[in-house]
Amino acid sequence: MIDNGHHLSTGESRGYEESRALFRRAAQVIPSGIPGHMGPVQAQFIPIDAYPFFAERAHGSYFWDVDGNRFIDYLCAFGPNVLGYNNPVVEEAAERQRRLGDTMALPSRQQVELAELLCDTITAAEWAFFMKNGNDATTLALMVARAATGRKKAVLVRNGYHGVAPWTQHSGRPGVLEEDTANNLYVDWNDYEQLEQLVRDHPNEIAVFMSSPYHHPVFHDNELPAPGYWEKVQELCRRHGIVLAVDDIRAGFRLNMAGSAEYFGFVPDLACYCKAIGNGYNIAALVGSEELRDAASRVFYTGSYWYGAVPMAAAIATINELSRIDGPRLMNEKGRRLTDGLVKAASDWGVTLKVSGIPSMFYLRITDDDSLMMTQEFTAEATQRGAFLVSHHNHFINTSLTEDDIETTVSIAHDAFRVVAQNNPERISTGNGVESRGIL
Amino acid sequence: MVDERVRARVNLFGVLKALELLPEYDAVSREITDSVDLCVEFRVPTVDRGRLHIHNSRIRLEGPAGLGGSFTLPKPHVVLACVSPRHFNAVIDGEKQPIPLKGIRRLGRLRNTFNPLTERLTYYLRPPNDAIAHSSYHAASTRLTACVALHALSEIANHDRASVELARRVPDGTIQFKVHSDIGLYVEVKDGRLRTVFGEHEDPRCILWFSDLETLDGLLRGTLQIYQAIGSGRMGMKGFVPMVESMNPLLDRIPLNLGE
Ligand SMILES: Cc1ncc(COP(=O)(O)O)c(C=O)c1O
Repeated sequence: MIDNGHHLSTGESRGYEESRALFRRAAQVIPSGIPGHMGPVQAQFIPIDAYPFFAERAHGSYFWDVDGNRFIDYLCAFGPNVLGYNNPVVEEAAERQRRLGDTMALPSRQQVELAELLCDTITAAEWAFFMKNGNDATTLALMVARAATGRKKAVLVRNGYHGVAPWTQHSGRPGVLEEDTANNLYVDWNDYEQLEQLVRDHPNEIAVFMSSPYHHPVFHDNELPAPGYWEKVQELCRRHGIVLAVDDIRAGFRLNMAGSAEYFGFVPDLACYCKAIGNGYNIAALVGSEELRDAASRVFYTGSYWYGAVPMAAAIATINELSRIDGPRLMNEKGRRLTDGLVKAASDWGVTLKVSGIPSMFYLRITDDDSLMMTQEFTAEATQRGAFLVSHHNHFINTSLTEDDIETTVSIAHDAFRVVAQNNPERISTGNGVESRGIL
Repeated sequence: MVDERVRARVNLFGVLKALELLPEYDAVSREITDSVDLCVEFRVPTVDRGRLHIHNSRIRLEGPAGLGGSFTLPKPHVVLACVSPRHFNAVIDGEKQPIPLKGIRRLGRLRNTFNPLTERLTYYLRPPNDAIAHSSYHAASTRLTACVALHALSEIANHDRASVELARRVPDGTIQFKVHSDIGLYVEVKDGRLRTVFGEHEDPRCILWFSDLETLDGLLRGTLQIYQAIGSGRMGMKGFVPMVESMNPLLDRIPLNLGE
């Protein structure tokens, strides 16, 4: 691995000139410069000068920006990086398939083998259907549920995320019509009674209840299901003929190889996968139950690149490798060690850091500040010191993260929390805080 | 389509509100209002009443507070009524006359004060013009535009039918608007209702800042490419950003309701 020396000199202020120059060019030819979730505005880079905009290359748990700065990456491309960038096993499988053919006149053998592998791996899977992005999978889930039930409505969890197709957005946003979301009903996360009430109020109208296995909204603490929640939801859906679809696009394979639903003790009718299944190769999948196989066969749904054999070969290698090393356990252990270290580093400066979600997908928030400004200061300071963290979104661990990386990150965090404590003396709890500890 | 009632509220509590700032920036306005003591009440059916007090180069505008609809400003010397919101909007546009209900004797005085004042305001509120691009004009113009636009924002959010639903999605808290240390306007949000206030909030939940007045001006007039402006560091946000995000579609409705 080549390293050009620009890495991790704690406290060094990073230059992002090349990122900015590229952004100026981008703004001439691409709407908003960087549209979508990687845009500096949409990704909530606050303050913006603390963050790079463009990456040059990536390896293992690091990426280098176009100015040559190296970062320990806790965003992992928002999830796809699960085994480490350029994992040799996955790359070799992809390369082998590339030499044979990728998008061809017919589907490849890989498609069948990947479907078999998913059915063997995921409890709820009796069949698998492949596409490119998470949103393709959630939209197909909705269509299959409608085809199977003959009903229109979808119940979704408020502040959940299932992609960007108009039906997943809110009317009033540019380009989204009231009609696009007219068949959506919303419930609060973990509120079984609300869901029960909705089901009562809309007899024989609800095709699907779609939810992530636990709640991982942006800007808010992530929440695990209350004891008994999923069991009751599953029972309610079965009783009323509502398709239970779990959106495991983010948490999939970061909690349990048999599915996050397996971990929480329920069996969905449909499950959506994307991020972690190809280690960065673009592929998504909808898997489902025997009862829905026929409906899934009847829905017409496809795309030019959906049969690409390279991503499928990469996905087979990724899933086998994750199973072999017990990736979910590994990532959660690493996440636990890291977040324990972060909490301790914070408390050394009198700062209370709350960690929520699952350790492999931890969400960070400094408490007693509903503006999140202290959290933003922390993540910006950490990023400028080489640990890429964001203030509003859950983070991701990949299996290649080393003990050294964790130690370095905790040390960076220590410096970052010192700055936060110095900038916010009025908000820091006294006793174990700034005064008593001093800078050195 | 523009709702005349909402436009009337925007005129009454947004446009006229900016008169409060005028003497601070404009010597002509200070002169016009020097040693004047005049309180006028506007009555707009189905909208509200608004009182404007001009007193020794200080101007205050107020709507009725609470259920009883009481004012802290003195009793009006002159009461001007309109027959409809549309009528009031035409008065503000200078196309129609209001109906004096009280204080006929002082009408001449009012005309000599109020009309030139609104002319001064119009001079500052019109879109940027190179011929008058000197910096003191520009500072006044942006500050007054911000005042009008952000007061309009609250009126629109609280009263425009299409916007009330959007406003309900704005999280509670305070958004501070800042240009360097200037501007000093914030919007308080509680249960989907907005209130615009002059000054600096001591503990805002969210801050929307601008590196220069042009950028703010562009945002308020709807001509700014926001993502590029943020990406290039000309404006930025800090704090609980969902407040700004959910307010965006409301900001979009300002130019529409200002009749621009
Ligand atoms: C839970 C969840 N569902 C759906 C999606 C949409 O996936 P994609 O962006 O690949 O369309 C995402 C992406 O972040 C997600 O996290």
